Amino acid sequence: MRLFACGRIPLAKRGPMKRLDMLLNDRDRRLVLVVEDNDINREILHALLSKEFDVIEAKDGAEGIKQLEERYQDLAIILLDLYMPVCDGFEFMRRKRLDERYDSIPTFVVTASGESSDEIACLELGANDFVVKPYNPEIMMNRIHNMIKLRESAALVSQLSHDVVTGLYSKEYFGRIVEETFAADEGAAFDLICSDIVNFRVLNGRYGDRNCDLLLHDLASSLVEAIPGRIAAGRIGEGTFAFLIEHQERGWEGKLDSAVAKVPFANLNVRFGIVENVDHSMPVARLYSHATSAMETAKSLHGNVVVYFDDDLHQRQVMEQTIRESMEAALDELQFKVHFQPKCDEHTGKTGGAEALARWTHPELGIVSPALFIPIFERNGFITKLDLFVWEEACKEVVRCAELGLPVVPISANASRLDFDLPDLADQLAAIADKHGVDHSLLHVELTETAYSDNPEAVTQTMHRLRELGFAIELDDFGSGYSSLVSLNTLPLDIIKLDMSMVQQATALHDFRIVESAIKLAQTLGLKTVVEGVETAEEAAKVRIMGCDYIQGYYYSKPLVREDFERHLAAEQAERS
Amino acid sequence: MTVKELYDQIGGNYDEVIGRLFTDELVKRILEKFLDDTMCPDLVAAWERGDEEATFHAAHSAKGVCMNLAFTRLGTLASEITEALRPGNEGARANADVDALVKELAAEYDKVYSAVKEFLGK
Repeated sequence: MRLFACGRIPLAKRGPMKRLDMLLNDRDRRLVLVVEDNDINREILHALLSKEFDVIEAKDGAEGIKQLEERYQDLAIILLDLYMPVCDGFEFMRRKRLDERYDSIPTFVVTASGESSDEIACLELGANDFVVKPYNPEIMMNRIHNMIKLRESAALVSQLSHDVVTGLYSKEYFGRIVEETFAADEGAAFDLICSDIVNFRVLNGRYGDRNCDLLLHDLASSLVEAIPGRIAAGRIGEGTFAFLIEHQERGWEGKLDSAVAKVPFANLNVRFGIVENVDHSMPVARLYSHATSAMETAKSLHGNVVVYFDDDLHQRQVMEQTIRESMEAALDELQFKVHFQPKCDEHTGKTGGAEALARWTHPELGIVSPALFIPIFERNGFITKLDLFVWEEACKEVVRCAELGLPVVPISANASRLDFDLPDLADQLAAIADKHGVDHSLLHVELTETAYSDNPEAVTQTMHRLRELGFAIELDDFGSGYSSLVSLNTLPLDIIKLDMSMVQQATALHDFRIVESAIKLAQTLGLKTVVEGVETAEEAAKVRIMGCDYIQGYYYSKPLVREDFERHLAAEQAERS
Repeated sequence: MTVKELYDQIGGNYDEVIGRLFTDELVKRILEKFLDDTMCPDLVAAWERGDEEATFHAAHSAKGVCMNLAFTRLGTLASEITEALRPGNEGARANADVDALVKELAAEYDKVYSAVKEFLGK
C-alpha cells in the first residue's frame, strides 16, 4: 500500500466517495459490516441487526478490510470486535484510518473488554463508540441509529460544502466564506489568488479522470501548504482553484513555482492570477473574472506564470467590455469599413487580386486595431457575423469595379475557425455572391490551418463544397504555426499564402532557403503562392525569382479604402493602355 | 423442556438472553453453535500447558460468548480469569487463585455443555 505525502490515501487515488443518493434516501436499509471472529457472537449480532439492517460479516480484521474495500460506498457503520486472530480490531482501525474514503463510515467497537485502556486506544484510533458485551440490545440499536444519522448528515453537509476530489471548498461555499469574511472585517486587506491548470481539458482527455483527479488533489494540497495567511481555499472551476488570503507583499513567483514543481505530473503548467487589496464591495464573480483576465494575459503557456491584476489590465478589460457592448451596433451603423489590400501578380506586375479586411472606427474609441477586436470576436462568436459582412462587401466591390469599367480581380475574404460551425457556410457564401450576381471564380476564401486542425472533418467537407461551388481556397498564415505538410497534400486548396514572418525571418537571417522551399513545395503540389509581408524591393525581387505568383505587402500596397483601391486599379489600367 | 427451563437448570439468565435474541428459536440456534465453540476447552488446555497469554485471550473470548448467551456463572468465571491474567494487572493476579478459577470454569462448562447437549437431543 503506497502512502502519500499526507500519510493517507487520498480520495482521488481510489475512487468515489460514499454515494450521495444513499445519504439522501431515508428509506433504504442501511448496510452494516460485522467484524467478529467468534461464530456465536457474530450470529447474535446478525440476529439483532438483521431486523433493521442488511448485514455483511468478516471473521477477522483482514477480511474486514477486504469487505470495506469492496463495499465502502454502501456501508453505514462497522461493528468491530477487538481481540481477533490474524488482524485484530486495533489493526483494523489503523488500516481503515489510512484511507480517506472510509472516514465517513463510523466504527462501533463491541468487545468483552471493559478495560478503559482498550477504550482509550480505540477512541484514539478513531472509533466512534464503544460497548461492552453483553450489551443491552435496545441501547445498542439506538446508539447505532444515532451514529448513522449523525454521520450521514455530516457527510451530506461536507459533500455540499467541499469538493470531494481536492478537499477544498466547493465554489458556492467558497463564495459564501469570502462574502462573510468581507462583511466581518471591513477594514482588513485581502488578496485573491486564482490558479488555473493550463490546458486542463487536454490533460484530462489524455490522462483520464482518475489521473487528473489525483493531479487536482496533489496540486491543491501543495498550494495549500505553500500559501500562507490563507483564510479559505476553493475549487471554482474544473482546473481552477481560488485562495483568499490576508494581504501580502508580492514575490509569489518562486513560492508558487516550487509548489507546482512538487506535484509529480509531467508537462504541468499552472497560471496564477492575483488580485491584491480586494475591494470588499465587489461581487465574488467579478473578483474571479479579474483574476482570470490577469491569467489570460500571460502570453506564454509554458512554465508557471504569475500575473497581477493591475490598472493597465483593468483598462484593457474595460476596453474589451466596451467592444463587446458596442459591436452589434457598430455593424448596424456601418462603423466597420472594408479595406482592400492589392496582391501583385508577379507575372504581370499588376494587381492580380485583393484581400478584403475589416477596419473599425469606433465613435468614442477611434480606430480599433483588428489585433484587439478580432480575438475578442473569435471568443464570443461575433466574428462570423463580421466575416459574412466582409464577404458581402467584397461581392459589392467586384460589382462596382465591373460597373466602373475597372479591371475585375478576385477578392479574398477570411473565414474564421468559428465560421465552419455553420453547417451551410459554403451555401450561405454562394447565396450572398448570387444575390449580387458575382461569378464565384472572382471570390476566394482564406482560412488558416488552425481552422482546419480544430475540426478537420467538418472543415474539409465545407472546403470541398466551396470548391464545388466554384470558389478558390487560400491557406492563410502558412508557416506561422504548426504547419502540417500532410494536410497540404489532402486539403482541397488552390493557393498557399506564406505568412509574413517567413519573409521577415529570411531578411533578418539573409537566408531565403525556407521561403524558396515553401514556394517550390507549393509548385510541386500544383498550388499557387502568395508571399505576404513583402516590404522592400529587394524582398520582392528575391521571391519573384523563386517563382512566387503573387506578393502582398506594404512594398506593393497597404490596405486601401474602397475609393483608393478603385483609383489604384484605374491607375494601373491607364498605365497599361 | 423449554429454553427457560434449561436456563433455570444451568443457572443462566433467561430474561436477559431473550431480551437480546427475542425468540426461543434463535436461542436454540445459537446454542447449537455453543456446542461447537471451543473457547472454554481452549482456555483450559492453554492453562494446563502453562500458556498464560493464550489463556488470557481464550478467557477474553469465552467471556464475550458466555455473557452474550447469559450463561452468568460461566461468564463471570471467564471474566475473573481475564482480569487476573490481563497484562499489567499484577495486583489482580496476586489476589486470584487462577488455577482454582480454571478448574471451576472447566466443571461449570461440563455441566452447561451436557445440559445443552441433552436439551438439543444430541
